[in-house]
Amino acid sequence: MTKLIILGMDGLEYDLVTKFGYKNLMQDHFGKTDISEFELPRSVILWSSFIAGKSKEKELTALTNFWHAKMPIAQTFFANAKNPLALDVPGFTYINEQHDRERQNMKDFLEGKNITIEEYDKHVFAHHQKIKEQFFKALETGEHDVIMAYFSVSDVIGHLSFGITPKMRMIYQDLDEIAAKVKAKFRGKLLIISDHGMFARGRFGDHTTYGFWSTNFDVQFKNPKLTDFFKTLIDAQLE
Amino acid sequence: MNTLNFVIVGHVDHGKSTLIGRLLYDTNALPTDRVEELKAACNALGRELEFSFITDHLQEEREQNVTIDTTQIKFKTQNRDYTIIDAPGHKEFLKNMMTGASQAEAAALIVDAKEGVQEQTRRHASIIALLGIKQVVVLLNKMDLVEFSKERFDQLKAQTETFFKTLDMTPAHIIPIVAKDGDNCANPSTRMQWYSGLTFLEALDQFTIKEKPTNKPLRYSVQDVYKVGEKRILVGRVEAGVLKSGQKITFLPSNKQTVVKTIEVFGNEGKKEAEAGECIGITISDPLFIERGEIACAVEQPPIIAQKIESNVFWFSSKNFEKKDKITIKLATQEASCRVEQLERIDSSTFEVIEHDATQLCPTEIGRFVLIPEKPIVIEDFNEVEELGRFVLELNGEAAGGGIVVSKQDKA
Repeated sequence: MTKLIILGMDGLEYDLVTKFGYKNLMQDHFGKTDISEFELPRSVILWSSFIAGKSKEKELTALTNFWHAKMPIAQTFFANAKNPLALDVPGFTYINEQHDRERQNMKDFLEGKNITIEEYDKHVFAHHQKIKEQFFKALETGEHDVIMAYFSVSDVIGHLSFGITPKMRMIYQDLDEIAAKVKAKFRGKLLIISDHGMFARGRFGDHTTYGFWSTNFDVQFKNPKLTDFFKTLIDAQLE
Repeated sequence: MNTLNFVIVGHVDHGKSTLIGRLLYDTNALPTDRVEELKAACNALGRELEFSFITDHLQEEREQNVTIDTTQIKFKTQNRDYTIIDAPGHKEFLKNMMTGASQAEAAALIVDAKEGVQEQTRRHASIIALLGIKQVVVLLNKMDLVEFSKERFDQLKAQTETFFKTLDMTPAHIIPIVAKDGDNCANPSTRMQWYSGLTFLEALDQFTIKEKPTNKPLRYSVQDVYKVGEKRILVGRVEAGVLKSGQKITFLPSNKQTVVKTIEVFGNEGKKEAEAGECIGITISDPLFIERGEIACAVEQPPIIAQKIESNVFWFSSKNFEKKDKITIKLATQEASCRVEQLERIDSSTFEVIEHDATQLCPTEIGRFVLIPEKPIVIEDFNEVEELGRFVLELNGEAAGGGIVVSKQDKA
């Protein structure tokens, strides 16, 4: 039976969630995370630190390509689970081929090479739909005691479109509907967390130095650090 | 090309934003590349395009003064230009209309076909009636949620007509629409073939644009007096009618008669006449003492000089109005301190009097005021000469209410 679900939503912006009142994303308890311990808000480093419960910044930035870094399960909170599922989790089960291509597409778009915004988006949305499908399938089976699904859509689309509010709102609505569907089917503990938020630069988007968190259980956190959730997640598995 | 100004009102969830977004989309008033980008994103995500998101975004941009006018949304059809007067809430709309900040010539009242007529719907219809907007179209939206049912449409149509009748009004058209899909908005619906009436845009195209009140009696409000060389120039605005050089006029309320000697407009020497809406200077034949607040009128068609003003007032101040408060009326360039002789509180949904001898009016309430100005004031019925039929009330030096004259007393 699934006890704990973590929805990792890359770049989910606190101000946008609260502005549009996405209640399923906000859950019962929510707030901003403090990521000031990191020199730069880089996604793979932040997510790796989140699952490890300590900053992995120094260790990962020393690598030639930290995007492809994969931690052993023993270093993560998944170590305590009997049958965990980690879908596309950065630093652990990250799907390199997909995300390398996304970064290349972004570079090409910004350099004015042969890719339209529609083509860029399409590639990201197709992956989003795939992860969504895999996640709900897994939830249906109930085989995994812990599931973490990573949704990169809000960040990857946000980089080129955060200033296009109707588009971002549509994405946030989709994410809110994922949370709603989970809440309707699942009675365990649910954490929704982002690595960082985003702010608009014209039509584009850049990372903020805080993230978003919400839970359906009381964690008594005030402005928690991203690494503070580790113990809570271990405890939730042991209950 | 002429422009029709209209307002869309309705209950908060009945689809106003979606309709505005849809209208802009159907009339190609949105940037094509941006819409294509959004449509592609919707397809890839398996979602419908949310027109309300587009409208909300436009409103945000407007608030930030980034790309478009601060108060209006514009689009055009083959026949004419349109301006949707943006009214985030009925409070703002009433305030703007009553103070003259914006002027709607037509109104669309949107009603959710599933939820039907709500309290707020009735209130909006009353506001339309209060403001004397005669050109009204009712849009029964979200017909897809009632399976495009003709029976439901007929039922709501009858209900709507009945409550409009209580306001002494008849909507020009009642149209079944689905704003999100565009049914009967710009194009006829293929899903409601039992409906043979006009689409929303066709209905709008049939409405008439308010003409300048040039065929009304002359009303010229004096704003200031300047001395330029040997000339004394009275500067002001032609509120109604046409002012001609050589014309005999009376200044009211001082009741001084004279003749227009010249019309003075910078860069237009020898101008012989000026019509409603023009701001001009004039010189007169006699050495009269005229000051700001006087209204010049055609001698043979005098207005009303009121010592008592019956009016409907929308109180938009955040403070309550107490009947004992001394307030100032500002009407065109006239200004006078007043007391309130009688105050009735009005139900803004039914327009019925809910308290006859009220002592107080709360924020956003409507009251029927009998005002006694400390000096006579030139007024007109709002439905005849709007510019002299609408006023602002000030409390402690701040605009606190907007009113319209509903009847006049004490003829000059």
